Amino acid sequence: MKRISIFMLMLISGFLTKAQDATEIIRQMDLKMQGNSSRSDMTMKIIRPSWTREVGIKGWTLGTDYSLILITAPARDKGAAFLKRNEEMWNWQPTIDRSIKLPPSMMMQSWMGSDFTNDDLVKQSSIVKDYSHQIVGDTIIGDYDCYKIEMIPKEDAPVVWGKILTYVSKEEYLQMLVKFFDEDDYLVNTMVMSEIRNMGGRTIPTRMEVIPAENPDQMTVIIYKDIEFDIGLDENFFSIQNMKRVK
Amino acid sequence: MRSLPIVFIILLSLPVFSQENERNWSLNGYIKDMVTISAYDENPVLTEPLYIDNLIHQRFNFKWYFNDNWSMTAGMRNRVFFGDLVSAFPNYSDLIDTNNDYFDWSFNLVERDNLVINSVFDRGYIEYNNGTWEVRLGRQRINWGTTVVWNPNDIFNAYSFFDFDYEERPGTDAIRVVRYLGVASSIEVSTKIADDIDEMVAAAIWKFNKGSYDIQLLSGIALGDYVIGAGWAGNLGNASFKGELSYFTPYEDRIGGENGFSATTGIDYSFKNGVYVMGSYLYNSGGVKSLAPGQTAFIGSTERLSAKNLMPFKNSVIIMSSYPATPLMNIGLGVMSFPGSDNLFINPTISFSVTQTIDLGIFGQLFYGEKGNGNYGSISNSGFLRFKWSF
Repeated sequence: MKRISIFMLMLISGFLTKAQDATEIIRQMDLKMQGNSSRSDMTMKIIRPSWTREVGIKGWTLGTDYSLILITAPARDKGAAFLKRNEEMWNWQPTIDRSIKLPPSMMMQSWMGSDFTNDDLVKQSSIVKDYSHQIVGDTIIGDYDCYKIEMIPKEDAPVVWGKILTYVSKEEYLQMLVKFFDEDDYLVNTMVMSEIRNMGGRTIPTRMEVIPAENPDQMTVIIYKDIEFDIGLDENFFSIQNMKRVK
Repeated sequence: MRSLPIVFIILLSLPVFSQENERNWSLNGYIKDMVTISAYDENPVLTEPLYIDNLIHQRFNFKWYFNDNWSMTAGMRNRVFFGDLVSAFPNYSDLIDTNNDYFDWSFNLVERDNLVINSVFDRGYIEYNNGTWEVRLGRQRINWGTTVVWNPNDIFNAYSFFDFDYEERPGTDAIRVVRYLGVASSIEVSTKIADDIDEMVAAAIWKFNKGSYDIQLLSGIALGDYVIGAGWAGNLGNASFKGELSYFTPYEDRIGGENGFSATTGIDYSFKNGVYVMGSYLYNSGGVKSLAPGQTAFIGSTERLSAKNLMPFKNSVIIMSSYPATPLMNIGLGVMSFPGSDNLFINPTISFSVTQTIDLGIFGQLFYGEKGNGNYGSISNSGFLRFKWSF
């Protein structure tokens, strides 16, 4: 009996340690890509069999609660900005000099026709806090030895997915591959990271491709042109007046 | 012509020659060409079965940053009108060269029976902004509206929903001082310059954020009236819920003035599949229950459009929906009705992204009601085909 108890305890604590490890790995991975605050300059390419469109984006973030996005291309939308503070979101339209309050229902829409939703870009949910994590295997992606981590959203988390599988490199905690599943366990999107290089003082993947499972011949690509981490932004930066001023 | 904005023309040509490491200016805009086909029934002036018109419309938006705090903005629209309606109205050039502003920055370069060319600076201001204080002097858009279709709080530069081809909307010659109090709150005092107190607008607005609501309170004078108003923008569940109220009362010594109450509210919602639905209601105490036979709802030709008088009707309701049929094509339909009246306005829209910089749009404006001969039917039907290249 005692032996069994110890065995159970070891098993549970083993599980616990493993679960904590998984969360810690995701936390490290998240820290790597987000930092406390960041400023980035990126291009989003929406690729379809018969056409492509490009959107230029500059982004500022502070944790997951605050973000500001400025559209730099195409010409038609240049200067438009999006601000997120906790649960609230605003949009700045420079042509008519007006900030427009956006409803939560706008969050889950595809963003400018891409395979990303607003939520993917302004990060309403936290991959660390809003999911429980578990290591479910090992695999090799490219030259990288990776953990395979299953992420299940916690109850009441503001999340659209039923499950996420994340592949994280063991050495540098780089996010290499992500598979998004719906609540019925069907694969919805696959996100592939590549072009790992040094940017903003960190080794990070600088190219992300999102491929919808239903339409494997289309994808949305985000390419980081520049990124800086821990630039000392505070929450006052994420204001309506600054949404009009950022360049 | 009160003042020729030569200074802007010089400023526009300057940056072309400046070679600096970091560009401290931006120039963008578009060229549009729009074909309009319109038909009128039982109209005393427009008796032809069909009118075909063309509008070439070019716009510059220029911004020059002197340093982190000081900047200058100019916006210019150049339009070339020709076609049947231009010929049908002997005073067409006067209709185009209208000016509600203190400075006359609108010029008709060509005024012929069948061709009118007009240039206007609808923006031209200098701004000081240090993040806490924002001061603007010149022609600018002072946008106090919160709702999607009608804006009773937009007392400085009201615009017509029907004027869909003017995305930038008119500006006003004014001084504006804004003091930001927090991340989503501010106090603003603005004055529209005018010779006559009945043309003047001077008001203050306090904007703040409470719960998940943006709230605003305003007070001042506007075109011969005292005005107080309030507006809000917030969420009702996952939908957006917005509204505006304004109450107008004439100066004591003003004869013929009437009290006015203009109020609107609206809800809009975006579904996950991209379908957008919006409903809005406008009350105008000075409006009529129903129009005279043959009359359309397009304010501007006979009456002045203002925040006090946004629609000729006492009650106006609009339901709008749009759907991205493909990622490049958006299809929309708006239907406006006026409780107490038989009139109906139908507004189908299709927009198509041809390339990264070229957009194509097809729009309809169909107005139904009692015609001049007493029968019910279409009073005015217009179709628009628009090509737009943005740079």
